Amino acid sequence: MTRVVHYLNQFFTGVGGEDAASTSPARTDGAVGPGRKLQALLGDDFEVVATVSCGDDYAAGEPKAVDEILALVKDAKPDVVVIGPAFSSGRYGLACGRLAAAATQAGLAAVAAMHPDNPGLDEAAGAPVVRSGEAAREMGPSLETLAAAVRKLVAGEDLTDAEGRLGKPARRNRVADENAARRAVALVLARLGGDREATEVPLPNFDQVTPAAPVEDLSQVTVALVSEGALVPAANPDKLESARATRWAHYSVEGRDSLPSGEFISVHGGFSTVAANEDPQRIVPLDVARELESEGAIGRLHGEYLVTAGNGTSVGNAKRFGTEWVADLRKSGVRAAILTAT
Amino acid sequence: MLCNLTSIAIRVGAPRIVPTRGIPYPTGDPSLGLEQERAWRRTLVETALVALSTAVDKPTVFDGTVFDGSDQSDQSDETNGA
Repeated sequence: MTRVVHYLNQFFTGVGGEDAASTSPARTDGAVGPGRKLQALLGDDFEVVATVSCGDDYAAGEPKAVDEILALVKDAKPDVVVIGPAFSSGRYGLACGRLAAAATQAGLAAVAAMHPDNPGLDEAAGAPVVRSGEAAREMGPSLETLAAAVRKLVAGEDLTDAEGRLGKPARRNRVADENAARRAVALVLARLGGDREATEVPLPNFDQVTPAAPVEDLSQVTVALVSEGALVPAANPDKLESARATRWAHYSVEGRDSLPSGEFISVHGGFSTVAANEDPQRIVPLDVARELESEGAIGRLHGEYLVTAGNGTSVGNAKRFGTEWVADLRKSGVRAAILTAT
Repeated sequence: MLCNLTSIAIRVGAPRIVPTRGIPYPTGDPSLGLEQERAWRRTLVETALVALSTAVDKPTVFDGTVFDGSDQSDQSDETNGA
C-alpha cells in the first residue's frame, strides 16, 4: 500500500474562501474534497492517509509556512506527496510550487499540478510539476493527469511531456547508449529526414507577440516611458528588487523636465549602475521626451513612468508585468510606450 | 524597445527594436560630451517614434539608416562592441 499525503488550500478542503485565507496549516486524516476523486483514480494500491491544508494568504505570504506544511506532511509518513491541482490560482500555485521543491529537497517523492502560466511553477525549482487546467471546472481531467503522474513517480520513472511534465526537469547524469558523435550524427540525419523537433537540449519557448498596429498620428496621442532598468527614487520606496523582480513600480514625472542625479538611482543588480546614477536620463529619457512633447512631436507625455528590474526575471512574472502595464496604461489613455531595456 | 542586445530582443519577439550603445545606458553614451550625448538620446527617441508609427509584422530593427541616411549607422557600428 502506497501512502499518499495530499496538499490542498483552504478552499478545496472546505475551510472557507477569502475570509479563511489567513488560516494556518492543518492536517486531517484521509482524503478530503478533490482528494476523494484522487483516491478513486489511484485505486486500491494507494491510500490517501492525510490531507494537509493551508490558507492561501498564509501559505504564500508567511515565510515559515512551507516548513510548517512540510512538517505536517512528514508526520503522516508519506510514500508520495501529491500537491494541488492549483489551476491558475497565484497564491495557491506559489504554495504548491514551494512545497514540491521543499518536499523533493527533503528526499520525498512529490508531484504538484498547476496551469503552465501559474507563477508557482518557477517556485518548484525543478521539482516535478504536471499540467492542470486553468480553473476548477477542469478538476476531473486535471486529477487524471495528476494521478497518472503519481503512478509513474512511485514506479521510479521520470515524468516527461507525455505525462504533462511542466518546467525544466532537474538534470540527471546517466550513461548514454552511444557516444556524443554518434548521437549528433543521428540528430543531423533525423533533421535531414524532416524531423525539426528532435534535440537533446530543448530551448525555452517564448510567446509569439502580435505587433500592435502603428500609431497614425503621434502628435495626437499620449506616450509613456517604461523601463526594466530599475530606476527608482533614491530611497527605493517600493523596495523594488535588484534581481528576480516580483513587482513593478510607477513614479510621477508630472512637472519635471528631467530626473535629477541623486534623486533617482538604478537599483538594477545586473550591470554597473554608475552611468545610470550619473544621469538617470540614460535609463529613462525624460529630458528629450519632454522636449519632443513641447515641440508637438507627441501629443502628451504620460504623467508617470513604469519600471521594474529585468534581471533574472522569470518569464511568468515578466509576462504578468507586461499584462499589468498594458492594462494600467490603457486605463490612463496611453496609446504607445517606449521601453528602455538594459 | 530601446536596447543594446538586439539579437535577444529579436529572439523573444519584440516587434519594434531600436539599437543602443551599451547595456548600462540604453538612452545615453557616457563617452560623449554632454550636448552630444543629449543629441544621441534625442536621435534614439525620435527613431523610437518612427518605429511606433511604422507597421511591422515581425521583430524589426530600426537603426536610423533607413530614415536618416547612413551616418548614425556607421557611428553605432563602431561603438556597439563596447
